[in-house]
Amino acid sequence: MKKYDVVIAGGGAVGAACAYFLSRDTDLKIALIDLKKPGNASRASAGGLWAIGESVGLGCGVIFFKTLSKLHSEAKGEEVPVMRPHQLPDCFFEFALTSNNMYPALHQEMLEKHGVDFKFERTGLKFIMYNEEDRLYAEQITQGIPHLADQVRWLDAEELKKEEPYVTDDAIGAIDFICDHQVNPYRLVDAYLEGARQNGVSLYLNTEVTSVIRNGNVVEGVKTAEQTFFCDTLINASGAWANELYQQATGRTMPVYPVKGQIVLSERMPKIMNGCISTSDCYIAQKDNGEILIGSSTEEKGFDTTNSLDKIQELSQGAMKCLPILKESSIKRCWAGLRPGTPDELPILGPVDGVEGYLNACGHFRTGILTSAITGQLMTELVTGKKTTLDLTPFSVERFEEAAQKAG
Amino acid sequence: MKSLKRTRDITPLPSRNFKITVDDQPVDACEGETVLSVLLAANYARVMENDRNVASGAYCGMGVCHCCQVKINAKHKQRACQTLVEPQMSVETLTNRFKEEGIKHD
Ligand SMILES: Cc1cc2nc3c(=O)[nH]c(=O)nc-3n(C[C@H](O)[C@H](O)[C@H](O)COP(=O)(O)OP(=O)(O)OC[C@H]3O[C@@H](n4cnc5c(N)ncnc54)[C@H](O)[C@@H]3O)c2cc1C
Ligand code: FES
Repeated sequence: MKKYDVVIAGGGAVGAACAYFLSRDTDLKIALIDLKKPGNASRASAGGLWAIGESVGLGCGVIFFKTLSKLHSEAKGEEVPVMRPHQLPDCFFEFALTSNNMYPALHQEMLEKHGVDFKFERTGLKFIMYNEEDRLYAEQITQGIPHLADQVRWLDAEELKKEEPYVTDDAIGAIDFICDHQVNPYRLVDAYLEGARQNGVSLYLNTEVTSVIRNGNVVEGVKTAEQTFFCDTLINASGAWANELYQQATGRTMPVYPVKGQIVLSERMPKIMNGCISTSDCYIAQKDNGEILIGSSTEEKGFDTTNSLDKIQELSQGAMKCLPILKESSIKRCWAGLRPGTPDELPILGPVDGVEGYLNACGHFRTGILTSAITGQLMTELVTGKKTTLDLTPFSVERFEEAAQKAG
Repeated sequence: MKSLKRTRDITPLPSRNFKITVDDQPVDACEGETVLSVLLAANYARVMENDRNVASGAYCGMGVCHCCQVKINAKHKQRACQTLVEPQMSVETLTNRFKEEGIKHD
C-alpha cells in the first residue's frame, strides 16, 4: 500500500505538466501513473502552440468552413449561408494565451534547471490565402479579434514570397499570427516528466489505473494491477479515456470522447519553412529535425487509431498544393491519435460538486499541448487552495448538467 | 563519353535493351529490370548516402529497408530496388539533398 498527497492518473502532456508544476511549487508527495494506450494524444500531436490560430478555428474550423463555401458556390446567387470562422469564446482565448505566454520562460527553466530541451521555436502561424473566399474568411477572423490586432500581420503575395519562398505562386497572401509558435511535443512531455522526476515525483510508467477507490462521496485513491495508492487528491488526466475514471470516482458520466486525428510526416528536409502554416486544407509545420508534419483530420470513430488512404491523400494533396516542393519528398510515417473531445470544445477542469479528493484535468481537445502549462499551474493552485489565475466556472463539469437540465 | 560496363550479369542481357545513365555515364539496361539490378551488374556496391553522410549499400532488395535510395530523374530518395528502368532515365548515386543544398538540421 502506498500513500501520496496527490496521484495523477495519465501521463500525457496534461498529466505530466500537473506533475511538474505541483512538484516545482509544493513539497507534496506526488505519484504519476500512466499506461500509454494506443492513441495517446500527446505523442500523436503536431506540437503547435497556436493560441490564436486554434481559438479562431483554423485547423478543424477551416474544414467546417470549406463545407459551407462549397454550399455557397452551389447556391449561386440564392440565399448564401453566412460564413463565419468557428471562433471559441473569450474564456478560451484567455486560457490559451495565458498558457502560450508561459512557454518562453518554461523553456529556459527546463534547460537550466533540468537539462532538457523541448525545442521551443518562434515560428508564427500563417494562414495562406489562395482566393477571395479565403481572404473573406481571413477578414472575418481578424474582425472577430479586434483586441488582438497587434498580433496579426497581413502579408501580400510578394511579402509572403519573401518569408516563405517555397509557398506556391498561386497564394495571394497570408495573415500571420505572430504569437503562435511550436514545440516538439514528445520532448515537451519528456521534459515535464524529467523535471518532475528530478523534483521527486514517483513515476509509475507502463502502469494502468484499474479502478478508483471511493468511500461515499470521497475519492480515497486508485488501484493498479499490483498496488493500491491512497491519496488526498486524485487528478484525472487520462485524456480521451477520462470518462472511465470519472464514472468510478463520481458515479456520473461526463462527455469526454475520442476525436481521431491523422497525421502525415515527411522524411527530413532541408529548412524549407520559416514558420508554421495553415491553409483551408491542412496545417503544415517543419519540426526541429527537418521533418514536415501535415495534419490533421477530425473524425469521431471511437477508439480507432487506424490510418485511412483518403485522409492521407487529402492531407498530402493539401500540403503539396501549398508547398509544391513536397512533391519531391517521401512520406516517412503516418499515424493517428485521439484528442480528448468535449461538446463545446472547452476542457473540463477542477473539482466536481459533492465529490471530495478529486480534480478533473481533461477534455483538452485539439490544444492540450498548448494549454498543458496553464493546466499544470491551475491544478497546483487548486491543490494548494490558492485563488486560481483564471476563473474556472466556464470549465467546470457542471456546465453539461446545467445544459442538460435546460434542454430537458 | 566513358560508358559503364555490366560485368556482373549472370545471364546475357536480352537484345531488346536501351541505355540509362548512372552518374552521367551511359549503361545498358533492359525493360523489366530494376535500377538496383543495373547498379549491381555494373559493380556498384555503395549506392546511397544518408542524411548523416553515411554511405550504404542495398540490403533487403525488396523495398523495406530504404538503404538503396538514389536520385532518379532529379528526384531524391527513390528506392533503386523498387524502381523499374525506363529509357533515358538518369540515376545518381551517393547524392543527398542535405549535402547538395548545404543545409543541416539537427
Ligand atoms: C493528430 C493530433 C494533432 C494535435 N495537434 C495539436 C497541436 O498542434 N497543438 C496542441 O496544443 N494540441 C494538439 N493536439 C491535441 C493534444 O494532443 C491533446 O489535447 C493533448 O495531448 C491531450 O493531452 P492529455 O494528457 O490530456 O491526453 P493524452 O496525451 O492522451 O494522455 C493521456 C494519457 O493517459 C493514459 N491513460 C488513460 N487511461 C489510463 C488509465 N486508466 N491508467 C493509466 N493511464 C491511463 C493514456 O494512455 C495516455 O497516455 C493534437 C491531437 C492530435 C490527435
Ligand atoms: S534494398 Fe531495401 S529498400 Fe531497396
